[in-house]
Amino acid sequence: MTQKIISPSTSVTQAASTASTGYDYTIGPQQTLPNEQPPPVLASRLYNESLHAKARKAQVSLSAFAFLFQEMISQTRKSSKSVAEIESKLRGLGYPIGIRLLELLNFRSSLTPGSRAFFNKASSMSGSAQGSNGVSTQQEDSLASTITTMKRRDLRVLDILQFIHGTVWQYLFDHVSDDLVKSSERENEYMIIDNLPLLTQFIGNNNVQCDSFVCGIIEGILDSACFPCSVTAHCMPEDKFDRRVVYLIKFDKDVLEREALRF
Amino acid sequence: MAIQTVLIINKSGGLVYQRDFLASSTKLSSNDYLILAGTLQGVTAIASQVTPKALQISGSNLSKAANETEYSIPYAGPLGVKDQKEDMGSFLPPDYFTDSFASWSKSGLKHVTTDQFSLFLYQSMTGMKFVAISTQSSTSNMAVSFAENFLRKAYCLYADFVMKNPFYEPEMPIRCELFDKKLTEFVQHL
Amino acid sequence: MTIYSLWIFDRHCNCIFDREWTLKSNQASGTTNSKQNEDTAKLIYGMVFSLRSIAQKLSRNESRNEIRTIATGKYRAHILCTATGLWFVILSDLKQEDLSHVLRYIYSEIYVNYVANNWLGPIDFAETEQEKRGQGTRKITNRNFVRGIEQFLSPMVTR
Repeated sequence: MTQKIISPSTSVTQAASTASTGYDYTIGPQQTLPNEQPPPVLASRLYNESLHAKARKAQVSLSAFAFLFQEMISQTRKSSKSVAEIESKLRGLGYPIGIRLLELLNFRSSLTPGSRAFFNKASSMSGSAQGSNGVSTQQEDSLASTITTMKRRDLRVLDILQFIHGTVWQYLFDHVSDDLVKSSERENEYMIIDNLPLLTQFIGNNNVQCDSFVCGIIEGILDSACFPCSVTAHCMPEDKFDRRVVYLIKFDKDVLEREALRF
Repeated sequence: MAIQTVLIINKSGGLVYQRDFLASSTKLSSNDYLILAGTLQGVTAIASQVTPKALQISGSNLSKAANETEYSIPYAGPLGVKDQKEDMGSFLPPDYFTDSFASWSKSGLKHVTTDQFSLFLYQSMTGMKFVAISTQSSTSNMAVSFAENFLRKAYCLYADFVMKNPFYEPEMPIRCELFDKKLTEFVQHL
Repeated sequence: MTIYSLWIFDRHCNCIFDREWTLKSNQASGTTNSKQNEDTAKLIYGMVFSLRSIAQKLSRNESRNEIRTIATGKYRAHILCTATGLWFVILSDLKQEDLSHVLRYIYSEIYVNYVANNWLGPIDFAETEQEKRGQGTRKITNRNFVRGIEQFLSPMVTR
């Protein structure tokens, strides 16, 4: 996995770079293509890039996002009385994102190479026929018609954790998380480890855990996938990774009971 | 050239950051440093007032382009910044910037040498002043452009690790652990 | 090589000599001991004084830490502080990295010869109490001194 997730905050153009760069919070990591010709579509790429042709080159500056995130924290800080309250508010901000992400990424996993053609066509049409409400209403152009089989829901704890560790992390932060560990002491605890947290990289270790926002996202995903749990973030520096963050996921008892029944 | 002290002065002349990098450097009281910051702020303003008449006369005749080249500072190499992505903050690898840049402070104080040390001053567009005191007394123009490059990178670090920290109040003294760490790393790699 | 002006201050904070060249091309241009330059002289004095006190404060040991040059984006000031409390200040362009030898020559060969060794002229330019507190306006008008300065520095103005 490339670790290149830095978006430009300088005026240096991205055009020269051919590798994947840039992180867009709403659209996800984009592959910058070396030439204009779309390469043969690979099924694996559909997992981590936006299908909409127009969005392919749009990028959000990391600085701009850092300032937005900073303001989010400042706002919650002003309206809260205790550290726990700030953290739970940040969690609350992340939670709905998690719910949406689960839907979006699962849907995206279901798309076939044919769906890309649909988006390419739609964007070229809307370019030529603007104002006439032109984006097709014809049935044969529906995106759903290009989907043959929907991805199945993740039912096992490990499956959904793999999904977060891989697909979700790739989508949010443009790299898979650095480790996914099962606690040796307690049955219901799992840990996702990120050596270089993207969102809080400019924020030092404070008594307020700003990674609670990401906890909220994880919780939202797991909750809406019917794995009720609680997620907490812990700062555990190790070697040269002094901002290493461990997300501790504690599943509820009934999740484990259900898991035992499955075999 | 070893950097002895780095100071950051905000736009109203208050000292917001002071850090010694050498154990042997003089220990001034925090009050002395505050006075020092205020003095530098005042001297910067005075320095632009006493521009010689010859320059004022010829300056108005000079074309704009000639003026601009005069104030651009050449890029002085990566200054020991490691080629590592995680050290770059929000700036593009392999260095924060790789071209010469225009100095914002066109007539203000830039460089002072004494028998024992040199003092360099970099002013940002917003009036923040970054001051470095080095242990060597050097009058060469190379040293000045080197120091300007160094201080500009310190400014980049400031932009990343101070301004993007939600717990920092603008214009107040800087207490950001990450900024401390990054700056120390940077100075030690020079 | 361009020199813009020369300033001499005595130990009572008074400017006792100033010479400013206003045209780079003409070495006879400019003013000597001009009334108009009084304010500029005070500003230069203030600037040097402030930075000198900073230098003293930051000094690593007991030895004196005298200020040598001050550079801005446009010009550079070269400073020589003597043991008797005299300051010699030259403003030059940024290409001049160190003019301390020039300042030392002006002090030892021109000032000492024509002012200090001149028994007919005053050596302390402040006569009243007020003048000793920085209000003095007396200047070095000694013709030999002025000529010596002109002869020595003029070639550097236009070059």
